[in-house]
Amino acid sequence: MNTNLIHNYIRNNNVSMGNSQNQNHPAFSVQDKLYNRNFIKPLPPTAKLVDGGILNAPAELAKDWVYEAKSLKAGIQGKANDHQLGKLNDVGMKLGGLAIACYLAAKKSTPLTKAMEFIGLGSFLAAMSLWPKIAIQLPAKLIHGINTRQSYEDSFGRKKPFSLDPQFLPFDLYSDKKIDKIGNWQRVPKDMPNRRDFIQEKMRKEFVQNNTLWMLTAGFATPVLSGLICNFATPYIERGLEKYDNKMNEKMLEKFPDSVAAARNNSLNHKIETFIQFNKDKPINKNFVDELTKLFTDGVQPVLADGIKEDLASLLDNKKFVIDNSLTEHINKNLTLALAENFDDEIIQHIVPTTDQISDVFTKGNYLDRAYTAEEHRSIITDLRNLLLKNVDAYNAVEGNTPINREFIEDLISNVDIEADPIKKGLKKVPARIFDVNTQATVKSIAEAITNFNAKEKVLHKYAYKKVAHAADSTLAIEYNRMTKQLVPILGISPEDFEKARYDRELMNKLLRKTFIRIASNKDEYGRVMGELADVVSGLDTNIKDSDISSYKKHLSNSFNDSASDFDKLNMKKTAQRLVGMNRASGNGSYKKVMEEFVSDRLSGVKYAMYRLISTLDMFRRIETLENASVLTDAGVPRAIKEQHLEMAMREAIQAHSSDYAVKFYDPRDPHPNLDDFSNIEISADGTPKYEYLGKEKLKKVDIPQDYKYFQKSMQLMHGDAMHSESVTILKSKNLLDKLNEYRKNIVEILGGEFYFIKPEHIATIQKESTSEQRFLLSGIALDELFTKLSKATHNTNKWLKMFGGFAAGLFAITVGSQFFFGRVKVPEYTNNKGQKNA
Amino acid sequence: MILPINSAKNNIYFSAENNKKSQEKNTEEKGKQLPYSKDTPLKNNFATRTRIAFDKFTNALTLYPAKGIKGSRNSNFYEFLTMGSVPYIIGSLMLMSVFNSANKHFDVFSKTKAGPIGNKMALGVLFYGIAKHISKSFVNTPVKALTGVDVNIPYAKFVNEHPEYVDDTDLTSIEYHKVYESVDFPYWNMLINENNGKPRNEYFDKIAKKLGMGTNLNDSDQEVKPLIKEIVTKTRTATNLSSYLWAATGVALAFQDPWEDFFKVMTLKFWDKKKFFKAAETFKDSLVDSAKALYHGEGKGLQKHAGKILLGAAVASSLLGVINVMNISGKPSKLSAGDVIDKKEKYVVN
Repeated sequence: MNTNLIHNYIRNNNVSMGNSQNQNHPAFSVQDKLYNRNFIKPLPPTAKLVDGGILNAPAELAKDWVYEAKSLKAGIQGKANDHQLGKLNDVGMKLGGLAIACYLAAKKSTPLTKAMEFIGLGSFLAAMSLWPKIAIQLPAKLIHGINTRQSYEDSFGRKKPFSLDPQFLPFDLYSDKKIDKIGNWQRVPKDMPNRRDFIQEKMRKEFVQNNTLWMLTAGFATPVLSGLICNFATPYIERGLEKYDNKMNEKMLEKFPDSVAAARNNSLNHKIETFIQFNKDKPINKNFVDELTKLFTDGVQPVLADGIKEDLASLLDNKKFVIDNSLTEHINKNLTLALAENFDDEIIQHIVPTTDQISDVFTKGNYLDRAYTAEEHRSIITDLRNLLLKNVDAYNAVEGNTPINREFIEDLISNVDIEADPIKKGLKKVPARIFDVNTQATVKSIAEAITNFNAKEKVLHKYAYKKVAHAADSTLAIEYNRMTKQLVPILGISPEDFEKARYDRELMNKLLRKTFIRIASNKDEYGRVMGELADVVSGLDTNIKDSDISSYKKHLSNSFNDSASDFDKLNMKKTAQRLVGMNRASGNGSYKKVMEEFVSDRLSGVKYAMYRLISTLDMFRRIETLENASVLTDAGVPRAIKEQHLEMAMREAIQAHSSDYAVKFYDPRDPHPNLDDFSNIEISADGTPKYEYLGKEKLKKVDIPQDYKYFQKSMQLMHGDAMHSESVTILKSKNLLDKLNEYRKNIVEILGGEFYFIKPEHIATIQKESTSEQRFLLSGIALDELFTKLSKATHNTNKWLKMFGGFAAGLFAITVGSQFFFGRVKVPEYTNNKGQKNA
Repeated sequence: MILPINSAKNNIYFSAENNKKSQEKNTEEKGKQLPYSKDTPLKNNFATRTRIAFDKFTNALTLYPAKGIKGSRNSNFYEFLTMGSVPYIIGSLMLMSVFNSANKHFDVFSKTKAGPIGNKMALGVLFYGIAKHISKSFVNTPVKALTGVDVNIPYAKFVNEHPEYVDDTDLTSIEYHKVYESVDFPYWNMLINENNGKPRNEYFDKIAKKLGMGTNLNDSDQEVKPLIKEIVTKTRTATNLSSYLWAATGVALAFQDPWEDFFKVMTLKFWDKKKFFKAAETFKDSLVDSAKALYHGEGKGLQKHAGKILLGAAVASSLLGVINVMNISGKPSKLSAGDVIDKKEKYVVN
């Protein structure tokens, strides 16, 4: 029982309240009132525990928001209380988080990376609130039956956490029933006296311990958990975003005119208007042209910018100049400067023509205030020079002792370089062309044409970028990742082997070869793998349809041609040429061609990598079954040579680059093969070829230039022979056969048809000219490299997951485990109401 | 559970005033010496702040968790809040390692990709904390200069603890609080001069003078206290909101590309003087370049100006905060009552 202090005080001190009260209220007894104590009751409390159930959450959330808004208002007015200020801290935290996310999102240019910033922050916040819930609240509930994150609402309606301040735990809010339930859960003896106090003490201890545990573990858990959440969420978000993006991109091209209108940016037109206002009726000099060029070419493709620059220069600047009276002083000054280094001021004064003298020359020749011709230009220069020399003669006549050397003077004032010649330079001061109304109109039209073109270009760029760019979130890149991720399971490579092989191309090479042989030696397995690979590849065709690309090319071609004719009309030939090429039909060397090729090349690069895999697998099947394997079944080829062909085909199909084809395979060969044995190639039961000769002699990398048939036959075996009948059936059903056949034909003709001056005869079928770009794309990525990259990426993710997944699991185990040691309070010795003592 | 108090023989007095004796006794017996024997106001200067921060930090890492995990009777809310710095510190280190530890297992190419991102994240956490902390002074300092109210005046609180076990004589400890920690219940007593010969309300007189309420007020404390409460509340509101915007600016600063120069040479090996100073120098350069990059931005439109906008928002929040504080509502009017009453009008007095 609690001690009643007032009671004690009165009893011990024998309090007397005086007589006066007795007189006024004879029936009043202080002692009586104090003993009964019913007149000093406070108001009944209205506080209650908050129901933390999930159904109640939305209502609680709404309430919190209202409260936060009210707190903000009170805070600004200076009337907030401690609790409201605490809430404002939460508001600030959210505000800051949002600010970070917005900033990072604004900084990144693509939607996916933008989304990732939000996911990153979101996962961090989620991890921060999830960890105490799953690692502390839940185990505590299960083990001790208490809610460590219980909230309560005080009598003023302020929501507060129940358990944070162990010295102020309003246990009154827990009913006896609730406390009993917790006590029973914790197996507190039911017959002990003051059981509620004991349970409360246990709960207090558990609260303190759990709060401390939370503070100790949160720092470790939050970043790791956040990383794990991000890792798991990314693929799903990526897929969703990608689908949406792709759709929007398609739509943009479908409604091309609308998209162009939306992309139109009139800032150039406005800038030109301003420029015209400031410069109208002014002479068009070099600065003028430069300034205008800068306006027009700002942000324009450099190749195109050069065209615009050249065109503007020839359009605006007609290289003609005017003579007016301001030139007299200008030329006088120029001449004085030119002589100043070598002559005294006095002499210069005598010999440099005065402004009047110069003016005389202009008037006599009737040159004033008009543009001069080239002939007139020459005679003016001669006249002015003669004028100066005449002055020199006059000076020499007076100062006979130290005459001035005429030739020296002539040297000083004449120069081929216009800038260094004082007279020529002076005559170029006032350009003849004025920025008149007509020129202004031309400039406006050019601005309009460029603005139009920019808008179209922007839409096309955006489309091509999103579709195929070398960026993490282009459709093509995502498709490529999607395809390559499926390869390892389809090929049935074990993850352990796969990860081990990442260190070295050779290891990967071996692994791939083993895998291909395993698949190709089994008909059913081969059918499955080929079918699934074909499915993967046709997935690309559904997400990046041929019609998409042709539609893009059509819009590209139309837009560029239209703009080119716009520029033509404005007499901007160079710009038009840069845009669509000298030869408009082929468009070679033009910006248009670059944009066309970019898309095709990127697409081919990805497709060919996959085609190469299919083609290689087909070759292994042909070798295993010795069907359509020309050289291997040719009775006229010695066995030793067959074995060499076989070995090379298997190796090069996996690892060859376009350069290996270019040098016609510089391959390890036996320089002195056995040429007597014409028996057939044998394949052992597990699919590996049995070599009778290969490997018996030490192989050397030797070139045998005259043996051109070796190259031809190898090309035939690898790419030339018809595909295996099983492959044909499968690929036909997936609509891929024609594409594969064309691809293989291209390889034979383009890679096999390249001329190499050391081995001129090594041509597969026909000699064919090709660009290095074509050859590079055709060979696709070497399979061992493709898989090595894949393996590294897989390894990185796995490694990370292993390290931090393990760490998170360990931390979780420790956190939950420590719960079992919490809340231990020794049960005191007691006697229950039946008079029994506890053990 | 309530333990019996049988320490009476040790002359424990449950009052701050009379505790000196027991303190001395404790010192003799156990060698424990507390720097204060009662609640003591402290000067808000660099030395005090550093000492308090160090005391709190070491306790947060050692004593408080040890007490808390045992479920000590004396673990309290102050200790819980002080321990709140632990997840920040561990979290920053952890974030660095989340990105960087797995890195050494990666091949070179992946390493160069993942490294800077991880370092930027870690730097971001660091700058978040620093900016959040420092930016509070952007409001607090002007408020102190303009009104004389320093919202951060610290005091040492002398705490009497419960005995943890029978014969527990270690029953005192010191906590560091702030006078205006609670706007509902500021610890006014800490601001009053007692028994030191100076005017009792010296502090309130000063503030009254600063706020333009005149000197020689009869009860300056009574006049000024409501205003101080308002100032503290408004200041706290401003710092709570603006400090997070500054923190966000800090993160944005950490995410600038020039930092990659610093990441290449960074080292904590201070004994390698050459390398360490080079790193410090590069840090300075990277900081300047990053600040420029944040301000100027790249690209067009929002992308270019995002940094400026963020910085502007942070500056504006601090500025508006100070302006709001200075707009004190409860200030008595300077007009005398006579001027307020318009003599031409009729007034009815009930």
